Amino acid sequence: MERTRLIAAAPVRSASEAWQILSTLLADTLEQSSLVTNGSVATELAPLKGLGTALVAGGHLESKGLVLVDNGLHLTIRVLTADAALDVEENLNPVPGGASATDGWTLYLPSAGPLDNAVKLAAKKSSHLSTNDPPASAPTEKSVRGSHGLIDLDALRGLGN
Amino acid sequence: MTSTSVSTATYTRTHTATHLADVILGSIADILGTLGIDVTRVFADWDRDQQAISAWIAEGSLASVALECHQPTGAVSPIFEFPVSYVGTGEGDRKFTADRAALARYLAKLQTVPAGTVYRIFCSYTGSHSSQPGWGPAARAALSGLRSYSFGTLASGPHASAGLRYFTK
Repeated sequence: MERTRLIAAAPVRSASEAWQILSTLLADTLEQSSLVTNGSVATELAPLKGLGTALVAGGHLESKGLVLVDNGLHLTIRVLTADAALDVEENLNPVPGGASATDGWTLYLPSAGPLDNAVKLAAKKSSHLSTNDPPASAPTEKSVRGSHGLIDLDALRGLGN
Repeated sequence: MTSTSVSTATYTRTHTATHLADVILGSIADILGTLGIDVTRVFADWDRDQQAISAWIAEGSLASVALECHQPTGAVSPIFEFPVSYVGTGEGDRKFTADRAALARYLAKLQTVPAGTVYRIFCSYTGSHSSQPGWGPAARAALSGLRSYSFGTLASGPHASAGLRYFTK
C-alpha cells in the first residue's frame, strides 16, 4: 500500500528542524520491526546530515519527496515550504507497515538539480540510500519468493559440474 | 440574513525570518552546486548561519547577504547579493512566497568557475545588530568593474522580502 506523509518546513519551522522530524519519522517507522536495530536508521541517514536540510530549504523535497520502500512498505515523504507549509496536516506517528520492515529497506532520494552530485556522493556512503527511481509499489514477500522460484538452483549447480 | 465568518491567522516576524533565512541559504547551496564549488562547508555551518541570518531579519537589522566566489587567480567573480527589504508594520496575514522555478531557470544560465574557487558569505546591516556566534567583522570585495543583473524578488513574507542580484565580469 502506498502512503504519503507531509511535513511542514518554513515558515512553520526551519529546514533543519523539518529534516530532524523527517529523520525521526523514518526511524520510528522502521525501528518498530524487530529486524531493524534501534539507532541503525540514524546511522544510515548520517551521510545526509546538512545535505538533507539543504534539500528541504531548496524545495527539492516538495514534489517527488523521499520514498521509503521495503516489503509491504511504500512511503513517500514530502516537505512543503512557503504558503503550502501553512496548510499541511501532519501525521508524525510511525507508519503502519513498519513493523514488518526488514534490514533491506531502501530510501530513494529524488533528483535535486544543482545538488545532484552531493546527493549521489551521500548515497554511496550507505547501502540503504539510492538515487535510482523508486519502484511504483512495494514489493511483497510473496513476489520476492516467487521471483526466487523462477531460478532452478539444482540446474545451476549442474552447470558448474 | 446572511452571516459571513472569516478565519484569519497572524504570522510573526519570526515566521518571516525563518522563511527568508531558509530560502537564502537554500539558494546559496544551489548556486554553489551549480558553479561546481564544494558545498559541504555550507552543510556543516548551516544551523549556525541560519540562526544568525534569521535573528538579524527578525530584528530588522540585516541589509543583505552576499556570496563571493574567490577564484585562484585572485579575481572575485561572480558575486551574488540577497538584499532584504522590510515592510513598515508587517502585514500580519499570510503570504509566504519563494520563486524557486525562476531561480532554477536563472541558475541554468550560470557557468562553472575554475577548480580551486572558494566562497565567502558576508552579511551587511542597516545599523546596530545583535552579535551572533561565528560571525565577525570583514571587508567585502569591490563591485567596481562588474556587470550587475537583477533577479527581482526571490522570496517574501508578511514582514520582509529578499531579492537577488548577480555581479560578474
